[in-house]
Amino acid sequence: MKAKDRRSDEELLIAAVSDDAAFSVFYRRYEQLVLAFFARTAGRGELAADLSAEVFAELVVSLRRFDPNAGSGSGWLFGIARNVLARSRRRGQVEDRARRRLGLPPIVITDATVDRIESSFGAERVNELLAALPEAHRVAVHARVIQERDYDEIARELRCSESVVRQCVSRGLRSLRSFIKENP
Amino acid sequence: MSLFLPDLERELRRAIRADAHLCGNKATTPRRKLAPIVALAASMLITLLVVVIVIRASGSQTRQSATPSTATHRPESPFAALRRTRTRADAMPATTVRLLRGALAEQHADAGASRRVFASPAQTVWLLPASVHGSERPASSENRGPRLAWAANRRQVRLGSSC
Repeated sequence: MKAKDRRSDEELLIAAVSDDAAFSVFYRRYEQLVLAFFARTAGRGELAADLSAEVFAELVVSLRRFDPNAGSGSGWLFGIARNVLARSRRRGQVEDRARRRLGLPPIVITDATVDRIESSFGAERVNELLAALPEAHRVAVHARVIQERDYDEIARELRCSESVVRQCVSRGLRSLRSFIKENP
Repeated sequence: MSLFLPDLERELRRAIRADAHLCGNKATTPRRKLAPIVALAASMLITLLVVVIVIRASGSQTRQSATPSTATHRPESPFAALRRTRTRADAMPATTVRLLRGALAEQHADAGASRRVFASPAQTVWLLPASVHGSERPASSENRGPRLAWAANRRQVRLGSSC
């Protein structure tokens, strides 16, 4: 078994420009969270898988533009996820621009995979995961990731600075990742 | 825990490897390494050129403003031109010789003495009394007329002496 990679998300994203192993570590950390985000918002397993594929492809295309000073790696990832979701909703179909740009072949999603996604990340499961978070983290993650609100708006509502909200979202997502790993 | 989309991870890793390989080859090309240096040198040269042009332009403007305009410039006196002429007779221009001839002719017309001014082949000016130059010799010193002095260099302008 491989030793756990201690690098931060930001370090992994910077290294992933030329190191596919670093990208693999980042992907394994966030695959389930991204699927859970789309399973919650899109409601269907195959749609969640399709949207997640486009998000990670977009992340690979944009790796060189990642700036750790501008925000956390997880925040950047979910920013891409929200953009992909918004564009897909606008167009009425799942976007595949990044996948075409990378020349990725179509990813085959079996029925078993779809069932697994829906059972793992249904609304009940997501609520269960969120409930395990500390209140400040739960509110921040719910407002930012599920309700897709802006940081400044959340900061005004919670009467704290924008950086505090970013911190809460980042730590909340990290905790969720740990819960999923411990309770598959 | 196994991945939900292992094929996606594999394909994305392959895309990153391909991109890194492409960029790595580009980065090791000597031309790409030299490109920033060449660009820097070119920009420095252009800056230097612009500075030189600006300095030269400002200098010529200063000179132009220091030169008086032609409207207020007084015409130069013919004597000023004469003063600027070199005193060596062999270097005198024809104009100078003409001026000398005229001046001497006027000076000696009243005394009744005939004077001739010659320009030698070497353009040395010889000013001789006609009596000396001609066949008849002057009877007295009065007829030879006054000896003239001209110019700063007497060795080149010989007055009243015989050949």
